Amino acid sequence: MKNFKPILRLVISISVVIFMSTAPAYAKNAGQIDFADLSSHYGEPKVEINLSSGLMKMVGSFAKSEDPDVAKILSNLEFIKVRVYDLKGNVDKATATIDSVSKKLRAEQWKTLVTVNNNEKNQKVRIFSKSTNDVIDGIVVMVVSPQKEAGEAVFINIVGEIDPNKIAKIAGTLNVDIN
Amino acid sequence: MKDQEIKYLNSLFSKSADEQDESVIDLPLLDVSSDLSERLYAITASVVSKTKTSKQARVKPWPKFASIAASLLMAVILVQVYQQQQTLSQLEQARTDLATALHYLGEANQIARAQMLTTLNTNIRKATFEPVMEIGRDAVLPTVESLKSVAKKSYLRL
Repeated sequence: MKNFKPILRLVISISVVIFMSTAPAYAKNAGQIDFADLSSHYGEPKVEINLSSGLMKMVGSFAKSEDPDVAKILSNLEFIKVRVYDLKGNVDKATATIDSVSKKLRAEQWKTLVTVNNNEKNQKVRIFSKSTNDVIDGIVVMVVSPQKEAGEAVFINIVGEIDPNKIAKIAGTLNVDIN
Repeated sequence: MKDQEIKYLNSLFSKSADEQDESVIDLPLLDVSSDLSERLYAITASVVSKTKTSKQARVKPWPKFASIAASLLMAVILVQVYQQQQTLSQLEQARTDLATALHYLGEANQIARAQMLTTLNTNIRKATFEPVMEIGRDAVLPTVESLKSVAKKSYLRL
């Protein structure tokens, strides 16, 4: 019995350390998702973007003089993740990933906004949104488009308070032709 | 020797300040042994060297301190400039990344919109235009005879 106490203490302290180290994973935002890593099939992504809330606030603060609304929209965004893969003529794995992620999102009560299956062009588009009390917490956009060069798969996850109508406004401020 | 010194000291302290200066002139010269004189010179030499080093110690730290302060200030300014440049490059990178993300978002939007328009057009065509064409194809055109009979009937009625 005397030997049991130190062992118990050790077990408790190890569990606390493990919990503390894995805590950020549980703190993940409701609108944030993990896309499957396709680099083993298509190599490193052509475009890899991870924009944190701090960076977006910084962009917003510099855009404040031009347009205060854009600064407000950007300050409400928490994270933007973009992965673009070159498909090299092989769309199968990307299509399968889109299907599996879509299935997972539907199971997690994400709302389907757009589903496009163009069998002639082998094109797929999926747009999902996650809302809490009528406020969008996250948007997921997945596109497989074999037409572009040797094919391209795009995965986008935007996290934070999003008003889709105002996204175009940010694009306008940054001189991006969204259409 | 001692009596002489005592006399001298008595006369020195009993005189006024003006008389004292003159009394210094009257100070008797004493024969000092070479050993003592060497020791006395050694004392004055050590005092001189001490005052010199203390002066050096008092003067030298200032330039040192100033140079250290200047280099520290330079370092702080350089670090600040470097940090500012880094922040600016980070900001520019973030702007570019945001623009790229929105570009791809726009592309997805464009594909979805084009597909929706195609689907809508196809379905509307199927729902309206094609049934009308079907009706048109099945319809029997009136012959001259049938038109004549219709005209006769209407004339008779009139």
